[in-house]
Amino acid sequence: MRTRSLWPSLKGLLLSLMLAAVMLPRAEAASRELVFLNWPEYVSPAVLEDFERSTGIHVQVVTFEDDGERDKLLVAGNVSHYDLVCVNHSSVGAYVASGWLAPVTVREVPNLKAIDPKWFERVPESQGFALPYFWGSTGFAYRRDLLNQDLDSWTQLLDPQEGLRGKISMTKNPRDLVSAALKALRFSINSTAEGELAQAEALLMKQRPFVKTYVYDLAAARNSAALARGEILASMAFNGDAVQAQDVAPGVQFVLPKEGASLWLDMLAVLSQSLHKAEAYALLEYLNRPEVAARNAEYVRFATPNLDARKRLPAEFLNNKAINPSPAEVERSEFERELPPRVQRRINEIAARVTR
Amino acid sequence: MRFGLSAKIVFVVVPLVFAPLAMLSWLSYQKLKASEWTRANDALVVAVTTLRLNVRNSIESSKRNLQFFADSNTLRKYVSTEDERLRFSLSQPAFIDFLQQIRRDYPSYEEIRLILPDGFEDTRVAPSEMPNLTDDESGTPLFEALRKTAGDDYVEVITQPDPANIRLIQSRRVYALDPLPDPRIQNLKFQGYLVVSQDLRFLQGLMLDLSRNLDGRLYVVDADGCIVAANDEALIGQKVAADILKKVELLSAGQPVPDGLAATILPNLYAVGDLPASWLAVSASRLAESLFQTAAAAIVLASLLLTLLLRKIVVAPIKSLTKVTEEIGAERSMVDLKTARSDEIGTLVRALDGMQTTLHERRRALLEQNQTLESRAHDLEVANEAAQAASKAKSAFMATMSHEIRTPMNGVLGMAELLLGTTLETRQRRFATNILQSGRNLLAIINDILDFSKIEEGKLALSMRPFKFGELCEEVIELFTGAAMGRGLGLIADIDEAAFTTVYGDADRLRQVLTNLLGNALKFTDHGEVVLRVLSVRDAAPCLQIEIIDSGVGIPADELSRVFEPFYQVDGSASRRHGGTGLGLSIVRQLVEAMGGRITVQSAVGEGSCFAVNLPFDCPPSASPAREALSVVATGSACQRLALRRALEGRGYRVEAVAAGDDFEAALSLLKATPQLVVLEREMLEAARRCFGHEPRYLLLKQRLDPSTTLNNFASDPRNILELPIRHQELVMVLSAFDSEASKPKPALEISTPLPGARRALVAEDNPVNQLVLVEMLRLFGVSSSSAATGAEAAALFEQSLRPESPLNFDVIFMDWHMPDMDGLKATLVMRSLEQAHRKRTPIIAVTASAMPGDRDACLAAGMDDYLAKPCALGELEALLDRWCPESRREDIDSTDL
Repeated sequence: MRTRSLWPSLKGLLLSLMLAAVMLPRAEAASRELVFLNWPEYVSPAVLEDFERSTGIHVQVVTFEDDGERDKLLVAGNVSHYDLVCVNHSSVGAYVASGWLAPVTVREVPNLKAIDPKWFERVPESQGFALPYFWGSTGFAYRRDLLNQDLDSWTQLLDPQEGLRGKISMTKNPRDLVSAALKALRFSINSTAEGELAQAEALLMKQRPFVKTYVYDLAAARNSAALARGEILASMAFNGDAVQAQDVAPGVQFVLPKEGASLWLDMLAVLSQSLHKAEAYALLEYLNRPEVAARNAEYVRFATPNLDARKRLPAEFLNNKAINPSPAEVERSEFERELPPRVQRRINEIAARVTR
Repeated sequence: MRFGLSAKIVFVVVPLVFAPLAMLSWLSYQKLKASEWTRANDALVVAVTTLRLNVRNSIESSKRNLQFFADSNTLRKYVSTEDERLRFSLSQPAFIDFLQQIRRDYPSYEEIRLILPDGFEDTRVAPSEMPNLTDDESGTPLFEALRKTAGDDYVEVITQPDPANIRLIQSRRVYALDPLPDPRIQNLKFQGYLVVSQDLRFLQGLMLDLSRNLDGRLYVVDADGCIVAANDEALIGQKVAADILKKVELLSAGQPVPDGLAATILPNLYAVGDLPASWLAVSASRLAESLFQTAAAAIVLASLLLTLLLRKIVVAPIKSLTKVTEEIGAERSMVDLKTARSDEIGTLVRALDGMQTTLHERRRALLEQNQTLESRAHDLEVANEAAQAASKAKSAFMATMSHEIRTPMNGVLGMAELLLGTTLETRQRRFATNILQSGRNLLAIINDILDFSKIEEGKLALSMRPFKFGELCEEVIELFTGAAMGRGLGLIADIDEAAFTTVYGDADRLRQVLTNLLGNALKFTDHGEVVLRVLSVRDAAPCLQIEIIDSGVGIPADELSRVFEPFYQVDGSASRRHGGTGLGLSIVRQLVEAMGGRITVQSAVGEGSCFAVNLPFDCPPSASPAREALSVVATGSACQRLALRRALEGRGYRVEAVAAGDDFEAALSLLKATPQLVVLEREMLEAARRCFGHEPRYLLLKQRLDPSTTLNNFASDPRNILELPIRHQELVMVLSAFDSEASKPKPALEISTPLPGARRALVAEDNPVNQLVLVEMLRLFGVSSSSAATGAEAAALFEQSLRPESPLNFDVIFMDWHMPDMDGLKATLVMRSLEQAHRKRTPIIAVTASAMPGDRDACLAAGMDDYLAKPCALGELEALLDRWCPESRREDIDSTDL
């Protein structure tokens, strides 16, 4: 009997044990700890330090690099291990339906009012449970310096030139992957039509030989990122990740393709099983202080929904098209919406087949 | 072909080794083949069983895996999320990852599905080549089967539309975790089926281990006989042979397979083994090959070893012994033969050694004897030489003596004869007759002695030439005619007509024989007759039988056998009375036997004797035409009558013989017919005439030398007379004269009628007496002679005669052998050379006393034509003259007057 079959669940188990091991002493010591399940480089460490200094609450950031990974962590039954989670808007509804989220209202987080209300309207199912954090677009980044071309279309990524063979990285996130293909085919990213989905699948299958990896490593945006190293010349990317990558590799260029991108909103939520809700609320409150939000935004290089923070942001930041797409770009892009289960299933299937 | 011992050993050893080994190999081969098949078969049965077990184990382990997966938290949590929305958006990606990891860990799990209780295919991971037929599995046979299965586990082998795609479907019911926290209550809610579909090609991997060193074929087949996995990958997808399909059908019917080469793994899956005949053949041939090689090697090795061993033990010693034996045989020094062997070879060696010693001893003794013998031989040789020398001396003496004795004898006899030819008064005549007689006796004795000595030395050689037999007999008779008449004895010649023919033999010796026998007959007869009868015997071995019958004193019976012994004379007293050396008959016998004949004698005392000589002359009777003519023969002597009868019958006459005497006339009158010819004695003429008148021809018989005259003219007419003893030619002539009235003039044959001389002879003889004798003899024959005393003289005379103007012309030359100055041989050579120029050959006749056998040939070689021995008889001389200068030439010579 192979022991490797144990590994997947074992991995989760180990991870949670590790976390427990880490957390327990802390729980003994000050019980003012917070486990923050977040994307990497998605909160400024300085901000967290300041928070700790000011509140004495230590924030432990546990990172994930894919929505699915995060979902898996939570599904695996470790909801109780985390306190604060960064969740994409299209999944909030499911989180709420799963009963994972504790209420987050202006009562718990007064600074909530600083956030642009339209965002709440965009994601109605999140109301009362999640706080908009940052918003962005999913396009692709490429090494302008290495490719010596200007790319502007999804098709250039999904039906690539020969020079990009084996130099492309995509995400394995089903939604993002299929959305890219749908957009390339000028379908809606929220399409439920089987025919369109089938075409998207076909396009993705065709792209397969050109894709080196379906692992999205740009979130970490370190030197080790493949795009930064030049192993990958074009990669699906979240806009802010691409901008962060430019620190390391100036040749990286983000593209919000002409077909449009998929727009998303990341939200912060407090997990219902959390034992440190108060601390979580405190952090949420802290993060939405205008100056903190602004600092955070500048660090993460994503667009903040905090209006007050926006006022404090430098012009160059606000003018960064990657971070802040133009209205026209926004116009042609689409906001992700939660899909019907069967469609989601279909997309899962497509992604599974494409990324196997 | 010779085969040595080594070769023989090889020829024996090789088959002896070959046969059992070959048989053994054959038996081994059969046995091994059978056991090989059994082994392979058993191995295959084991393999089938093992395969079945392994496949079942594999299926079993898959089942356990499924159980494990189904129990896993991931799966349970997933199926526990009943809300599709939550399930698909939050849980499914991770679940898909989970399933895909399973697929990576178990590559044979091609398709893993989660089917919900209502048949909805919730999640599916499969290779992209496997199209998803439907999401709604409800209603499919598989789903129905899953639903109906009692237990949590389900296993089935399904043949997809494409038969190459036989799949193993395994399923495990999945239960959700109830959120109830109490672990004691496991309230499990059925939430679906985890279905794993494997392509059975993974079984191929199971095959490989099993099929190492496996003979034959191992298959996993489905119910239709389609090969799912096989130890020979090329067979996958093909259908098995009919016989294997039968086994599969048996199994699917639930019956066991008798040979154990097929087993059910699952209702649609069977493990089958097959040992094809071709494998067996290949394996058998490999076996045969290796066995053959082994056997061949063994045979060769064994043969080699055996041969070498045998050679060493047997052949080598034999060879060395052979060599030793040869050395012993070669009479070299003694060979050292020592051996320690106790076997047969050892015995042989010791025996050989013993033999060698003995041989050596004997050889030494032999050498000594040899030396003794050599010295004796030497002595003998010396003695032999002396003897031979003595013999030679004796022969030379004899030859010399022969010549020396004969020469004067010739003279004496010749002279006596001549003397008797002259006019003598009675007393003188008597004296001369005595001289002649004594001389002849002496000559006869001398001849006898010489002949005897020649015979004794074995130097008797017959000189063969053709001669007339009958005539010779008559000659001999003629010799004795006078003697017979003088003693008052009748001498009858009774010679068969057939004997008057030419035969090939030694005439002189025959004459000698006849003369001797006839002489004896006359000698020992006082009164009566002596008959010389010659008959031609016609039987298997034709011969001439010569009988000399006398009515003399006879020979006693006890002495008959000894008469032919030399020096033997019947009755010592007789010798004194009859004279002679006693050598005659022994010489006669030697001569007869030398001629290839036989001589016998019959005799009784007082009744006379009959000497019979058989000579191997083939004388067929001449066919004389038979005549009707009757002839009467009348004489006093019965034998004469018989002789006359034979003679006349030989001429074809019918003969009536009548005895002369008192009853003569009476006997004659008894005859029925009148004869044409009457032969009778003169006394009976008148009586016959009275009987037959003048019609028949009368022939008077008259004794040849009877001097009495006739009284009438008839009897004096020679045509009416037949002289006795009968002479064949005379008889012929007389009878033919009767036939034709004309009577031919008969050439006178009597010695007393010399014919007018026409022939001329040259006589070369140094002895005046002999010369005279020969000349006078020749004169008797009407031959005139010229004489010469030496060879030179003769040659000179001859030369003269050759000159054209010479009146001389020699018809014949008589040459003496031994003459002073030039001898006969040289003279002959001279004459021959003289003749050559004139192309004329005169007969030269050697006259000599030498009677050695080689002399005649020497004479002939010298150029002489014939040979006359001294003393020569008139008859001989006449014969020679007839031969060499017959009178037919008389007419020619008549013209020249000599």
